[in-house]
Amino acid sequence: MKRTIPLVITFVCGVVLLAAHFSPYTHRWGEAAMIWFDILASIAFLLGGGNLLKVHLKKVFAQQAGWAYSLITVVAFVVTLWVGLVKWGAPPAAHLEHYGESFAHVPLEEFPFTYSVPGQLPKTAERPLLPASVRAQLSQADGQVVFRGWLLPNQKSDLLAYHPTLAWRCLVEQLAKAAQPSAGFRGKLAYYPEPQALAFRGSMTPQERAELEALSPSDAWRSAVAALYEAGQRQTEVVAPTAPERFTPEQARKISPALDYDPASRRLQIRGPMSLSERQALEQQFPLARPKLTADPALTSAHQPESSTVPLRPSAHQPGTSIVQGESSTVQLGTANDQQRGFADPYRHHLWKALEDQGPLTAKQAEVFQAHWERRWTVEQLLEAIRMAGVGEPTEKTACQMLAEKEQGVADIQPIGPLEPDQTLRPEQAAAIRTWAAGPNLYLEDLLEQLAKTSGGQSPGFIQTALQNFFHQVPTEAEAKKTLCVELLRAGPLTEAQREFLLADYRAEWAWRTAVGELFRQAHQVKFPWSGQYNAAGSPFWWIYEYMFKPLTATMFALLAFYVASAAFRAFRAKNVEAALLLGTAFVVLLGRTAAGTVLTGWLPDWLGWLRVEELTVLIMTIFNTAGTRAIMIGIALGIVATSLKIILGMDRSYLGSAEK
Amino acid sequence: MFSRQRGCLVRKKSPLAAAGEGGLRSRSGEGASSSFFLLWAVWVGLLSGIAFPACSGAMEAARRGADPGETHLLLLPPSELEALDAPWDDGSRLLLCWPLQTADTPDAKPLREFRIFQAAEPCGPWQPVAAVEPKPKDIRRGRMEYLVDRCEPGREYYFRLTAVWADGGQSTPVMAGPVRPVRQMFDGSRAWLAGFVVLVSGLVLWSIQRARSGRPVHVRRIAGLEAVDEAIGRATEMGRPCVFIAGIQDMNDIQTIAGLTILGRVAETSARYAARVEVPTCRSLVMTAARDTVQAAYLAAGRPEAYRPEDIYYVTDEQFGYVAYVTGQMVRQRPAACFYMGAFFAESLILAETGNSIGAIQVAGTAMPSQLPFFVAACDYTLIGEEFFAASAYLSGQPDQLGALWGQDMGKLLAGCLILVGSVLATLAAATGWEWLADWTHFLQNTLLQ
Repeated sequence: MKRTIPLVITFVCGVVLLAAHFSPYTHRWGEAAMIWFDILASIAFLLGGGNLLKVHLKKVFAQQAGWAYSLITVVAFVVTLWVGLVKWGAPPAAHLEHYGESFAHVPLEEFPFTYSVPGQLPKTAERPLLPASVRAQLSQADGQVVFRGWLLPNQKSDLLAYHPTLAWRCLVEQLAKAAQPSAGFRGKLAYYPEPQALAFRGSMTPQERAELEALSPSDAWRSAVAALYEAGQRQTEVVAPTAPERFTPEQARKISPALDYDPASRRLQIRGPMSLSERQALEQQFPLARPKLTADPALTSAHQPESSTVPLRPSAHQPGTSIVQGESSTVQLGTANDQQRGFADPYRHHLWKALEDQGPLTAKQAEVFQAHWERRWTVEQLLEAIRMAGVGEPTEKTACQMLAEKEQGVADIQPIGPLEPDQTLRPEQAAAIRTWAAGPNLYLEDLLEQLAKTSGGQSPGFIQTALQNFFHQVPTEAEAKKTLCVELLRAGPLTEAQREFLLADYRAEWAWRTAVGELFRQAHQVKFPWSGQYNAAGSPFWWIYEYMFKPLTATMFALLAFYVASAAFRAFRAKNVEAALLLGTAFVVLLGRTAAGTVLTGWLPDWLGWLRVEELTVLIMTIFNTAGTRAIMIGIALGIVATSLKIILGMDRSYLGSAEK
Repeated sequence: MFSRQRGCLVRKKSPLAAAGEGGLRSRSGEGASSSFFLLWAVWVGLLSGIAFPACSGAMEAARRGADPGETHLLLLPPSELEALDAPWDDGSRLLLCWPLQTADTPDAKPLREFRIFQAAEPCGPWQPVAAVEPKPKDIRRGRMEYLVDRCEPGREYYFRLTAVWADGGQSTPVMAGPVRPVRQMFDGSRAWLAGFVVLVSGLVLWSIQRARSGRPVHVRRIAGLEAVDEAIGRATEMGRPCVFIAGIQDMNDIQTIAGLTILGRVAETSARYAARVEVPTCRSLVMTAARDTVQAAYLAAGRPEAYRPEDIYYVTDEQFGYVAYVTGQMVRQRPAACFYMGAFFAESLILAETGNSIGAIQVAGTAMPSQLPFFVAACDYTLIGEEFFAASAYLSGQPDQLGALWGQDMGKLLAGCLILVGSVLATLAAATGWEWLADWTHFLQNTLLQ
């Protein structure tokens, strides 16, 4: 029996894996067999780990030869296992944490809201199961598709992809519209079926709490609402070492009513959790990098033709002639054309002068300074981005619209509707952008205010989107100055004063961001503490892996170089004809892989080109070596077939220890 | 030549099938063995039947009307589109075919491309699938085919085809559907592989049967396996242990199993000589399997009391961690014999050179071609590729096991014949420029041996 069971398992697994390779119907059997093997190997690892501890502890306690190595092995094993298993210091998975939301447990069966739309679930023989994300919540009853909970965007996508017919997609759209929280709570309230958690975004007000509690008399619901309210009242605060120049308590409340700031004590407070958008808004309280001005804003706006919309084409400005005058630090700022036309950039001039006043600069640093400035954003780029955002895009029809067309008898349904009309920037708005760009400090909210004033009742939605997308890629002025500092240092030395001038703003910005990050971390309610990767960057396991394990294994691997040399020395001794042939071939191949080989025989004429070492190397490797390798491979393949066959059929049982039956 | 199947014509016989039949005739009446070749020939015939459906009806007429010499592509708009389930697949593919009709009428226009769209319903909305251009071969055949992949088995699909003319205009679309991809029992793309597996397995089984019937089997001497006894004897004389390493892969690797087979023999000999065998393993499962193997070997040698399970132990899964431990142990213990039997990678030379430096007699066997030179350079004996797999049969000395080796040789003969035929065909195709020879070479290379 002890032998029969392994033989039966071997036979069944062998046949299943063979069948899975050739029959699509049995692919899943093969996968299942492999999964079973992995499970078995995982269980066997317990045996292995136990054996390792047993063997080495025995050596340590008996103080046998090499017991110190065993002690190191045991300690390393236990420490690595511990930090890996408990995921010590590993942050939770960001995509599961739902930043800015508080969670409270509500069992799915006690969730008080169900929604239904008339229709049928399109279960088929090939797809008997609904998508996993909605399987627990979606059901069929009395000709209605019933959904318990509020449909999340990912659930809607899964359902849309589940079946492609218009009728089903329309049903999903109707369900997605119906299965939502009431209007006052849309975007704030959600229900996640996997952890069975009710989630609230931000801090709940007493009025919101009363409204939510009135929705259902269920105890589970009311206690969850109470828990969410409590979580939303938790105060968190940090003391910021520095604060942005324009940051005030009003500014903080503008970002979120739950935020507060005390300028005297520099305390930054938040009630409840902080969302990623709030964190981002808090961090972006510093002026944006200044643009490369290509024309005098006053002149440009004055000469703007009334009829045109926006001067969208890049200007004819030719970026510059050299600003370097010999090797001295005297430089001429702005291009020659700019100077002649009076279009000098005062901020660039100011920055350069300020740097010069605090120490000498080399000609190379002057070049770097100009190159840095040439890379800065321009007003023309911004205007072009806004123009692109204003180009009308085709509207996409909903499935219900297309279904209605189908029912009306439309033979060729188009998924795309008519183009939206183009939206353009008004000349006053373009002028406002130019004026803003020439101002002393560039804050995006100032620009948005000015654009709203000059919109003439036009919806600024596309402009706002374009501006946010554009400035998302533009650094702050402090970051730009830090980059300039690094570039200048690469080109030459800077004095302490120059470095301080370039880096002081960035230091303050970094301190503020660190404080905001700390506030974000403290205000966050961790949902799944063990969801992160055990080897996440910065975790103790990662440190062990990166700074102990990797160097040690690299050391072992590096030994190979020396072993190759010693083995080659022994193998290539020309003791007989075969060994001499091997030596000669190896010499040619080795030489052909180096530059020396090419140089040595490069003089050979073209008609003797095949004798060049690199050509001979290719010949040996592609013809002789490949032929030999393939012969071995064919033999191996046939050996594997025969061995596998004998093992599957139980003819060869020697791996069980004996061929005896 | 063609028979109708599900509205399409299926090619029944190819030149290869004819060759298969020829082979069958020539071998008829050769006794019991011919029945196997008969089966093989039938299989070949069946394989040639697993061809993609060809276009029917008007398409066949269009094929006859197409001028093979046509180079300036003036085509009529596509008149029909056929959508079929791609046969012998996992249900993820559908086959579209449509005629290419050339004409001298004003309706014929120069073509830029065909555009294919798919939808779940006949009224749309239509999603673009591909834009394809006909190849010269398609024009000669008078039809075009396109394989739509990534379909979902059982789901209904509709297709629409439009010709886009060189001037940017488009033809009236033609439609096909509904069609459902169906998952078949057998994956036709692996038919030839299945054929070869069946053939080689059949040869091995037949040769085993042949050996069992008493026919003598001659196996050449394999020095590496002969040296096993010598190595263990030396270890016994020196009073030092032997080290056996079964590679660094798990039990799902055939080389590990082959290694354990040899371990059984090594352990049995060691038990007889009262030598100690140490087996540090890189995987837990290998450790448990190796313990069973060694225990059974000690039992077979009549010395079960000498079995020491603590000599077979797990080290680590990490490649270089394992190497560090084993080489350290080798340097400290100085074993008299080292056996490396299994799947090895970069660690092969580190292990073998360390063994060499301590003066151990070393026998290696692996089926990793890239590691063979290292073992050849550093070990006393090396089992190269198939010798490694033949070890079990060689060491057992049983006729049925040895018979399998003869079957393997038959497989090698078949491989040699295919190489020869392929080389001759490729040479002739290149020398003569005959297209049919090139087609046969292509078939051999990309279908038969894929």
